[in-house]
Amino acid sequence: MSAVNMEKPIPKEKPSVANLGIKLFYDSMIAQNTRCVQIEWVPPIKQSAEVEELLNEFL
Amino acid sequence: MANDMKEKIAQANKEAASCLIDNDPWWVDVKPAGECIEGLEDHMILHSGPPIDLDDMVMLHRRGMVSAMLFEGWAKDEKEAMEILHSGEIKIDSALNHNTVGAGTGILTKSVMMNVVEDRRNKTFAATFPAEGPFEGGFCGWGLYSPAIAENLRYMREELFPPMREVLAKNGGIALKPILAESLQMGDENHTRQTAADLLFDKLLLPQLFALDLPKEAIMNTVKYIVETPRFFHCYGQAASRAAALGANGIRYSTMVTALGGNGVEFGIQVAGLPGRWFTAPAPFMTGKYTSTQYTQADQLPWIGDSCVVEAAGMGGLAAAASPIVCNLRGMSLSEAIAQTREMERITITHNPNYSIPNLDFDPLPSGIDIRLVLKTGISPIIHGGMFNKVGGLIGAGMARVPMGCFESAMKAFAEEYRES
Amino acid sequence: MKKVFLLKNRYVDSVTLMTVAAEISALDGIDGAECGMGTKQNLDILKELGYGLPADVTMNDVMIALDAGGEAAMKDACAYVERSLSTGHSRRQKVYHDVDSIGEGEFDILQLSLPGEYAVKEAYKAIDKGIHVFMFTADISLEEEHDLKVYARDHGCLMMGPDAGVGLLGGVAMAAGSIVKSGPIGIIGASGSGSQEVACLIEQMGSGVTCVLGTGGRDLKKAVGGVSMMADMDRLERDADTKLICLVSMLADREVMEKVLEKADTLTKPVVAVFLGADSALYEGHRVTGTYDLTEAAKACVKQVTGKEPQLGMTGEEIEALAARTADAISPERKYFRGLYTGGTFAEETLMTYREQAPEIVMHTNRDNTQYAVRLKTHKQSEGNTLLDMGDLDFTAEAPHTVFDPAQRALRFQQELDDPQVAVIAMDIILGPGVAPDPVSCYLPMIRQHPEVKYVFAVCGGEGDPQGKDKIKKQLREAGVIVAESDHESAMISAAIMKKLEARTA
Repeated sequence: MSAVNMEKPIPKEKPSVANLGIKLFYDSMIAQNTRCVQIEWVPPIKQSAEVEELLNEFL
Repeated sequence: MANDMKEKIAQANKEAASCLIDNDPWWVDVKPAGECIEGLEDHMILHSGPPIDLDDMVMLHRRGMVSAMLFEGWAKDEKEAMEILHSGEIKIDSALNHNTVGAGTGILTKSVMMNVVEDRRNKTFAATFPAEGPFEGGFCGWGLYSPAIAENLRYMREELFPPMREVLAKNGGIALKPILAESLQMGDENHTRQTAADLLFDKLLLPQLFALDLPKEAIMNTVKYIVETPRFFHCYGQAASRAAALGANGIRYSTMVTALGGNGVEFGIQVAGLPGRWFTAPAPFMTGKYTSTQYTQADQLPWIGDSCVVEAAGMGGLAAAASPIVCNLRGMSLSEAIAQTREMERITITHNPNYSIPNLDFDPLPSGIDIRLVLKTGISPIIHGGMFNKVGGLIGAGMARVPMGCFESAMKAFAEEYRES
Repeated sequence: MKKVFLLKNRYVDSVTLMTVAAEISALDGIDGAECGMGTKQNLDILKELGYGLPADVTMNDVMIALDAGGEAAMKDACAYVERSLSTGHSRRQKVYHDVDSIGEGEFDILQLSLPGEYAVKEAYKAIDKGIHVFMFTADISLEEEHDLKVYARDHGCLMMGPDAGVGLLGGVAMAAGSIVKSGPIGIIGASGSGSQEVACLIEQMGSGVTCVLGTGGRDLKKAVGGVSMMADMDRLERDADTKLICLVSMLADREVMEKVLEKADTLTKPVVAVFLGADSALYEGHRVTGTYDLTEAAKACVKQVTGKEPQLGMTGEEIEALAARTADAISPERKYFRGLYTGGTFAEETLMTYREQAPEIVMHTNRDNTQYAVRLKTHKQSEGNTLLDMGDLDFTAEAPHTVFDPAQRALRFQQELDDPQVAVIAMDIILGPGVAPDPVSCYLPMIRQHPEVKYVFAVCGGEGDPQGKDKIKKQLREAGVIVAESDHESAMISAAIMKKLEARTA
């Protein structure tokens, strides 16, 4: 499957944005009347390498 | 290939969760434990939490063992009881290794009268011990024994339960799911609070009792027991939860938690895809409110009891949003109670559409704890409960978090079991 | 026809059931609907209404009684009920905790500014879901950057960044970018403030942009190889709305720049390029219109799309006259220039302009990769003529980037004013919906209090930016600041002034 076929077009009309990180940038999107969600992210807990591996395998 | 495994797990979890969601629990009988708890043999004593050696037991459990010996007449006094217990003649096992629940100390032997719940969809039975009336805790819940307690147990068995059995024989059983579902909409979380459930249950049962052709006094004794015993419905909610989870027991590839409980020393969980196995870690302390300022954590016994089977079924701590009053005890606001349920949503497989909660704007409650999600998010299930004094007696109420260690060892065991070699 | 459907063993409260019944009554093909639990009362009601009751109904079942024209309508109504009862009436907005919870293609862009150790993973997840990534995060390795950009390209998504501070997509300004009018010019920028300046100047000269695709500041490094810039060139070549492509960058790895220019040779659309600091040899033999500063690039773009020579700013003579007037008003003991710049490219463009226009002036700077100045001993203290890049790590390690919060630069401004030898202070003011809402108020009192120092500012912003470009320029001019029309003009003006001061002491 060629990359061009599954290519996502350059947004031309008001794009929808998911903001992950600095809240200021979410505020900016809202101020520009852009559909935006602020992802409520917290740093993933520090897993032991073993648990991290298990989660990659089974989740 | 990796996706194949994840698919299998997703399918298995869907199936496991549907055991909880589509359950159909009915209270059908009151019987001696020996007749309704599978695998409960003669000279066997059950207790709450994961398996533990007699010598490692906390005082409450050791005391309960002695009480059991005396209750069944397997020893004539405490000294003899301890000797026989140490001789190995008595089999000791976890209540959660059987189709029952060890709330509090969870002391169960063959002669204890149990409420029997049949899950007609899951085709399982679970039995739980009824509240002992004026004896807060009493034999099963607190491991106590005395002539008064013995007499009360006899009284319950010979006088209070027969009218109930007659009602059940007549109507074929009382459906519990509508009671649980409606009570969750009325402020109960069905672990530490079941006020509405009690009333809904009473409304169903009492008229049927009154309709029996029995002397008024006989009926009134039973009615009095029912309406005057605090948290009477608690054992039915536990039985319904247990019967549902038993339906999921053994579903291969499922990572759903089917049981959990503590023995004051260790806390353990059981997982649907790893039947018959315990995954343990040190039992946690609870946080919450003490009944008196004289108590501190130094007095508190780490978690003891299996009543958190209701959390496995998606009530209790997971249903905090339904019961802001319970949360208020810990100084939480309504929005914090809601946030607690929202937090639990992140570690569950799905939602239970039968439990639609007004405070959540009628969103359904989360259902089916997934060990993988617990590990991924670092969010451990919140279990509601009462705090026990090391020397006995309840000294407060609140919540605890299931220790992470349980989920880590469960996940490792899952990998060993299911990893394609 | 009338029929009763059951949802076995389901509990739903009566109010919810009544609400659902009312909703499905309004569906096409449904003449009547009742919903209720299978209680005796409800069974009687249905019987009276002429419904036949299923044999296996119990009080624990939900009954959906439908009076409808046909089977299809009934099927739809039942599906509606199932859906409604499963999902609840929640008006609550879905909460996302990470990219995992986002559905395939649910958003167009992920605007990502997490710390580097987490950002890479989330970026890959977004690409897997067909979501473009705008990555403000800078702290990932060049190798990770390269791999991420290749992955994005191969999966049909834009990878803007890492270290991308400016972007404009669908008329929406990302991060620190400006809102600029729509038009036929597509900008691909490995320089944040550079591409922002070009876009804003294009608007000022009467045209507009289709998009500003930031590639991040390291796209043209050898280890990254210009993956994003070249993928974006492909995109804009195929984009119907883009009539001209403009490439904006600082001077970068020679081989990579060559590759980029060779790529431009294969396109059919006109390409304007500015690699700040390049010599003519770079552009020789290539099809691009090569330019040497940001203003020149913007003018070249507008000229090619409009066919007219665009006007912007002052003539050379006007600058000379202004410089002479201004220098005359500066007392003899004041002889030093201090540039406090927010945009790295503006700092570089200014240094470059000084080298061209006033090579006799020795510039000091905290900037690392510049051929035009001497390194300061410490960024905390200016020496002689100094130009500071306040977006550099030295400064951003100590305080939020001054484009978001003017405080750090305002303090430095005061520090420079305390130096009795300071003659000219130059600054860039950057506007946009994601940067400081009030970028100049903190300076105005100090400016008014110190007319003995001369100020040369440039304001980089779009008409649509909330701070109000015209208002800001007016405020500055009223305080006595010389407001240039572009960063390049600002550099030309301050260099001309400094040249005169330098000549004075010679």
